Amino acid sequence: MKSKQFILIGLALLMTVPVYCADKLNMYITYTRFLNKSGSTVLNIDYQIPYRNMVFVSQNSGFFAELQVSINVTDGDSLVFQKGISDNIGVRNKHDVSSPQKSYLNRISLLVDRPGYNVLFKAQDVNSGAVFEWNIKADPLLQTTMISDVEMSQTVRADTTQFLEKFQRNHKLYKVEPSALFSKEQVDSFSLYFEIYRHEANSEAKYVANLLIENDEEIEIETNLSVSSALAVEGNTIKIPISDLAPGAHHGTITIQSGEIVEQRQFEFVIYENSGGQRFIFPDPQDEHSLMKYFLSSGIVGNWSSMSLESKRRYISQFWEVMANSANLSPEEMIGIVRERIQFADKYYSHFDKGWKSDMGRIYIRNGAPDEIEKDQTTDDTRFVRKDFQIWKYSLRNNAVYVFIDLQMNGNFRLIFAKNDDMELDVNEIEKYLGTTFDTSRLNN
Amino acid sequence: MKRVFSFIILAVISLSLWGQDIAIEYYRDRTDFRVIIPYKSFIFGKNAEVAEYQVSMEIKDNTKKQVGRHEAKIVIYKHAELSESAILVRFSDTLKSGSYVATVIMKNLNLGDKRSFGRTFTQSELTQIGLSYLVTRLYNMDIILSSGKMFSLPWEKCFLYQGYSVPIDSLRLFVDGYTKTVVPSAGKIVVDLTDLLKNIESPQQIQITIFEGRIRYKTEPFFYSSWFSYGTIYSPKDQIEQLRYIATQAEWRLMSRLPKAEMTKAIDQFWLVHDPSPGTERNEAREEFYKRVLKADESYTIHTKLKGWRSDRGRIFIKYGYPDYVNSEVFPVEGYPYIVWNYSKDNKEFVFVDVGGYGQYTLRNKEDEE
Repeated sequence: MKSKQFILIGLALLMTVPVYCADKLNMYITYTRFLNKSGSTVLNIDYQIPYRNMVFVSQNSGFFAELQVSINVTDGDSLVFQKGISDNIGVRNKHDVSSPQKSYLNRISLLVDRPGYNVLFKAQDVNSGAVFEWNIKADPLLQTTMISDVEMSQTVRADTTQFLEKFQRNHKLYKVEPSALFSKEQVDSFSLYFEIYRHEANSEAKYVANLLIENDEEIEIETNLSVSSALAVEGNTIKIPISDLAPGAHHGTITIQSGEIVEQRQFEFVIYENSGGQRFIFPDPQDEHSLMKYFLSSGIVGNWSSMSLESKRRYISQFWEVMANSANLSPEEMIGIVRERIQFADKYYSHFDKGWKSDMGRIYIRNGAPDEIEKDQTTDDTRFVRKDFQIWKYSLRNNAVYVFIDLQMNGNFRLIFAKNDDMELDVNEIEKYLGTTFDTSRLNN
Repeated sequence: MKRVFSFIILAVISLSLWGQDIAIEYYRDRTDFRVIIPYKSFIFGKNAEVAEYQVSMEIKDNTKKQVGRHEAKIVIYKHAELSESAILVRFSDTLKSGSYVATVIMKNLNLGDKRSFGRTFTQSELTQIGLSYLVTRLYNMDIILSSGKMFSLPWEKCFLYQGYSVPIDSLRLFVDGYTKTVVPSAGKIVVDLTDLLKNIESPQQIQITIFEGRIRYKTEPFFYSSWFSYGTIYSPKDQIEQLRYIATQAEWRLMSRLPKAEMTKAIDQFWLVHDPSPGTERNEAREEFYKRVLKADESYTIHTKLKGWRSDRGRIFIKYGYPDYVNSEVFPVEGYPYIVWNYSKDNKEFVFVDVGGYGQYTLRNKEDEE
């Protein structure tokens, strides 16, 4: 399975990056062309570099990588345009540096006014010295073209922030994916964006558009696209669900026809799945849902029950990743710690139900072992028979204090008091269960 | 009479500020304690060339139960040139997570005087990359040199000690153009630098790069410096008030309401967030801040109730550092004496005026301060 996956990734790299050498800087790059309002071609060069391909230095309260990018546009022997960019890439969490999901994305846009230009893109990782080079023959779109190139985005969502502003259209972020790699574990779908142009000469003509996606064996998606007859420039965003697409390389074609004129735009992408990459503790997502609630005060996503198993798994994976980030641990370390605590809770706090589901289990899983445990029995001052109770004190965790009582005398200790823990409800049943004579100074920490 | 006089001398010495401290690093298999004692705090008997000390350290948990005790006998040789340096005593223990108090008791075996100092610490997260200790050895004394007198003093051997808990690939040391790379083994890096440093007449610059996968940590060896006494000079309350100069409003709101018991933890937390080189034990911003506070006190204190760090000049110095240009008129023909500090990089100028004529310069353009 793994070797198949590597082959697929390699295939995708061949499609998107002409030069890919292990001893050089490895990154993804692609380009798309659109017409602007004056009919000139805008060439968007999108480059994406996974964090784990760069060298980061611990400085300025974070971890920073620096990419020096240069663009040289030549016309024959003549250098007609030159631009240098310094990309400073900073992360706060150390584990992001080696995360396979995290990458840096940027775009350089150029106006191409005539054919024959050669664009040389060069990027150097300042900290390692590794260099990446790429060049294309940048021909403009014909001024009479009916369709732009096709841009592939991992997500399209509302966004009004300045972050990735270059990738926004009408306050929506088109997070372009130059790698053209889409993971079944990470996304349900990806989006295609292209523009259809209607010029004065064909303003009355009827357009017919069609989308075809196929792999080596079969046609997977074939659909007609609706085209407006009124707009001079029509932006189209088409969501492609990937759940029905088989892992592997796919070839897409958008065809647009007006009378006898036919234009086509091709695109390639790879779908991959890596079940080993999913992170979860319990086989049953419902158990995981209960466990996740231990760590979230704001609650789990609202539509949990209607989510597919795959979406739940993805949510769970992301949850542990976020949790690990906030604790400055790797997701594997985070899950390892929680798993150990669950095992401990199951061993020592189980009664009729699993120990991790008990009150003691919940506190233990969230906070770890208490620094101080005081075991005692209630006095005759209460209206119950004598029962065991325990006071747990933490020197870390905001000096939290908890009191548990074995109400039913079956080993299921119930939480009756919690102090300095925002995640627990304001519970205080000391008087009820431990009596009015209970020395509350024992709860000081 | 002689005994009374000795007692007074000792009492004065014990009340003075030594700047000794205990540096603590937590690793998976051990907790390392480095007791750093300024050389000039050791007391020699009359005409004695040697002072013998017993250094013991007690560790108590938050229930005040003793969980560890360590002892070392050290022999200190009289050497005037070592006065600015510090002596290092190392202990290791295995402690589980929690809060502890470490107390060091130093007993002069020749004169009988005793003194102690302690530190409260919480063992929670592992130290990723500890301080880089460059330790020179002379007559069996482990010495941490002062930054100002790097290797101008006599020494016999020199070692670099580096603790870590992250998976380090290698450590590279640059000394005035010379490079030495070492691969760690068994969770510790100990590099004998004697041969390398003997070949370099007077090393000017020592830099360390630690390689962990695709992350580089750039640091410098730890040298003993006057800032190290900061923690013993200022109470946690004073330290919190000093942080007001550089803290955000939200941070200050939180810190200003803290009970005394939580101040030290909050100060550590503040510096953890404001660490320019995360992952390393060294915090360059904290060191610089301490240096500035001490310098502000040294330069602008008028008397004990008008501490330099509380003065306007002290505050500006702590926030902005040394000015690029200073313009002053101490005896003006007209008006009050004034001093102007110019920070060309920040495009700022601060005007201090001595209205009272007693050297208490106050800031006139507070609106320019951020």
